[in-house]
Amino acid sequence: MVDATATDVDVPAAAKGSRLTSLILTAAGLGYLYQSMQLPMGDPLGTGVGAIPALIAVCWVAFGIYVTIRNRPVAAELGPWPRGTAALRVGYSLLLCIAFVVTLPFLGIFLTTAAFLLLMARLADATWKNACVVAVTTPIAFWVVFALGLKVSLPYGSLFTTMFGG
Amino acid sequence: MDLLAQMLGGFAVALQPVNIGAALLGALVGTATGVLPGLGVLGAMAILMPITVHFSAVTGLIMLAGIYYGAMYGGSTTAILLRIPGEGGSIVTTIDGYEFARKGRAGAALMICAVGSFIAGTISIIGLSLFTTVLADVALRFSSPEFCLLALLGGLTLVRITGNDPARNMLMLLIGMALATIGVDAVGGDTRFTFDTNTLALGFDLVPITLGLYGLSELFHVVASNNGFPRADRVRLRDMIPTRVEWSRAWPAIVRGSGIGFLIGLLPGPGSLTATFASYGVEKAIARKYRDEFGRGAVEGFAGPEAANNAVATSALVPVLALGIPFTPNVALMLGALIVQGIQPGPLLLSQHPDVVWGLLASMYIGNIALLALNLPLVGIWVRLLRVPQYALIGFIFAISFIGVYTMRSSYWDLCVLVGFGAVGAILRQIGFDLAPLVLGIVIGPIFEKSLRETLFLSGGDLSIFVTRPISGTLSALCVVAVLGPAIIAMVRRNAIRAKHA
Amino acid sequence: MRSIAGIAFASFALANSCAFAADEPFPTKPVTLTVNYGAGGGSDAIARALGRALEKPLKQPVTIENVAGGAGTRGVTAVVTAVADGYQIGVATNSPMTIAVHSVKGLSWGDPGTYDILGGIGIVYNALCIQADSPLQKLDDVVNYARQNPGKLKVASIAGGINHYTWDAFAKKANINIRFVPYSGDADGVASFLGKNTELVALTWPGLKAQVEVGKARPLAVFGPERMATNPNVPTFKELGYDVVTTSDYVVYAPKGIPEARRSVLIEAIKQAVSDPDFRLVLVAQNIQVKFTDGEEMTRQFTEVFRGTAPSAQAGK
Repeated sequence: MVDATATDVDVPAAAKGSRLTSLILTAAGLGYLYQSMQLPMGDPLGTGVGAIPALIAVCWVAFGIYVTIRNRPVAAELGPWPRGTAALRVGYSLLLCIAFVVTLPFLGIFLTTAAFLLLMARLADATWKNACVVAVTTPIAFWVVFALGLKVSLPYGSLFTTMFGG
Repeated sequence: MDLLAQMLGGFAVALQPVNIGAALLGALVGTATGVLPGLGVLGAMAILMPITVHFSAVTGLIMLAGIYYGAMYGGSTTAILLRIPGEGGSIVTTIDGYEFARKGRAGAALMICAVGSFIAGTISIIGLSLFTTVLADVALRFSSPEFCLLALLGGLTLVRITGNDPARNMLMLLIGMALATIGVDAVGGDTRFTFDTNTLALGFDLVPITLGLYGLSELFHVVASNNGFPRADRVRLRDMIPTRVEWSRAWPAIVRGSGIGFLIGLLPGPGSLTATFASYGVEKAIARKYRDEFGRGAVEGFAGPEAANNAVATSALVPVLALGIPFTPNVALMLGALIVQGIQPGPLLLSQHPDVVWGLLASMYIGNIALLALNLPLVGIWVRLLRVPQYALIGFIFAISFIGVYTMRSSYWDLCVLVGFGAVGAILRQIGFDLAPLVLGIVIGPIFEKSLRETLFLSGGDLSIFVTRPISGTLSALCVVAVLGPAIIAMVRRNAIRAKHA
Repeated sequence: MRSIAGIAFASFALANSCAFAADEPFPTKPVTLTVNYGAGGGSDAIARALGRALEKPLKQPVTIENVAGGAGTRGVTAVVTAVADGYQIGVATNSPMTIAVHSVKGLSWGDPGTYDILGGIGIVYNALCIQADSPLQKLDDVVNYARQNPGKLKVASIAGGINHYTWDAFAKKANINIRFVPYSGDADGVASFLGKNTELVALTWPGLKAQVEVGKARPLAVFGPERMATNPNVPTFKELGYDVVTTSDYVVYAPKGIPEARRSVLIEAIKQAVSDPDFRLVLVAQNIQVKFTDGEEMTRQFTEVFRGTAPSAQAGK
């Protein structure tokens, strides 16, 4: 259990997806280059807002093409791509993160955090009881530390403000 | 002997109970903010600054300084235990510090960092006490052309030190530099690459990007593998104390890191990130026996950068104390604390208010001892943090990252950046692109652009300014060496091998 | 959470009980003061000091909110688009409201008539200094030298803001060509000047004062309406024959349409805050002149600069 991950590290990763990624990055560089060419280069040359971005963009595209063509397989620090349930778990947690950001303006910090923690804890194999304990206590702790202790203004959400704020 | 008398006077100020209390309180708050991801040291200092009004100038300053270098200590803790950098300066520590912790030596790693920070703090405070005025004059000889070349030199050398593919690193570095150009331009205040949206005009802030690329992507990895963070089921005293071999490898790295950090801290810009990368690069370059361990938990790989990080925090005070010019927002805030008390910081500070300056310096000696005393017992507690049930820990770290990032500038956009870069970081890591150059690009990109454009304004577009000034000429030569050097070395080696075979 | 609900309920009841009185109690809950820069800058320090000083007359906590970004315009947007109930006010300098407003696109507000300036709280002068060892003694010497040697002198300053606007106006009036070298902040500009990269420096007085006191910089003139009380020997540009008067001002503002009764409560509180000794200490120490200027006057001044910068900001593109 303790050293389960240690062996994964040295697994040489296939260059799977490497060339495609390089290609996408190079294409993005071309887009950036086009955008920067629209900006003024400045007088004297190089002092305008577009000059340095254009310089960066040219180098970006050049290195992008070089890396794409050469496509040298490099040992990745992680093992192979997650498959099956592992991939599902990652997708689910990413979805939860997106849901957090989307619902925060409406539900506010307390409800959003509670729901997020509940579902995350369930994902990490907690019992319903334990998950509920985490989901209830953590938002309260956040409120004590951030709102009371540090006097930071938290996003209470439109629901909360309509109910209590007036 | 005059210096000695002033130093003793400083200690008399710093050793007053109220000042010791302020140093301890500041160190504690700083450690806490360093440990909490997203909650920046700058925010903590700003929030506590109003409190300092009720104290004397020295006491307030001592407390703020305590927060400042306390955060440097705290930032390494999450980097080592969870692979989440508490602040920019501890990104490098996530490489070898985390791997070291995975070998079951988390306690020892934290101990080395605490002691290393203490040594670095002490070395640089001595440097600060002795050479403040001289160093400030040297720092002024660096201007836009020199900063531009330093950024270039930094980029050219640092792409070689992490990961194992300089070309890919260069690509990442350039993308980072490009990302930093989105939003409001620092020179003229114009917006660019925003497609006329308010959202993109906000730009990409370093904190959500760093936290996303490193913190969130690691959390996704943890969720996927279901193995969790390195466990520390039994915390024995033996596991918390570094071995003799570890010590003998750590301390030279600490001394070198202190020197590097001290010099880089004198210059404007986000010194801590640059200094930690530089220290890591030096350690990797001069390593002989343990070279293969880098990236797999080499002691030098986190002892040096951690020391450098702390040395930067101290030497960044030089331009303020000697000239009254704050180069970093943190230091500007400390300057603000003086202004609030009616003390005008500037070149005359040392002669008009020697009690304040020497009191601060002396308090930093004491603050460093306080931090060491505070952090050594904490090591045991932090390591036990990993025994918190995985299901609670993962959600908690996600949630606190969200809140920390949001409160920084009340922006939902920053949360989108955080999540987006979390996903991008996870993918890039999977494919074998190193993330460190991307973050570095975001940091040095603005310095490079700003100083290059300032230089061209200054010289009226004449590029010869890069070689005609003595310091810039030297730096230009070094840049050429950085580009051609590795190629020449490779060629010489190839010839040597060929000669042998012939 | 129960306690918040309790307080809200109690205050609701209280508000109801006095509803028939002409002066409804205000404020009955914490007021948010938005600052348009991140935690830790000069504006932030002023906002926090102001928040503390406002708490006394308002008898309610004042929460500080940092809404940074968009060259300072984002914080203004947050205030201007808020509900106009008096619980959301902001503090800002004139730079985002009169200058950045032209270059940042897609803003929901524009000229100073689209928001409500409650009052000015502090004034900063902009000044021109020269290397202390320069043979050029007076402003006229500089102007004459610059006319004979166009493009030879360099001035360190900041682009895109009030400094740039002021310098362009002066250079036009004096008909001179001095190379404008923009830096991204006071600290960088002063450092470059101290490193003798430029002969002149045109920045805000708070950024220059310390260097003047140690004799590294020599003040030539200030762009203020009158001489500074602290340095009465420094002339103004206006009295030297160059009619350029600009200041940087800190103002407190709110969304348009706050009920008049609440508005006057806020203005009264700001007046008291400006005379609060702790608040004055923070501003005076930054070499800001603390003075309450009423909202109408500030609106007039802002509108003038807003109009003045509109064409020049376009011409710079």
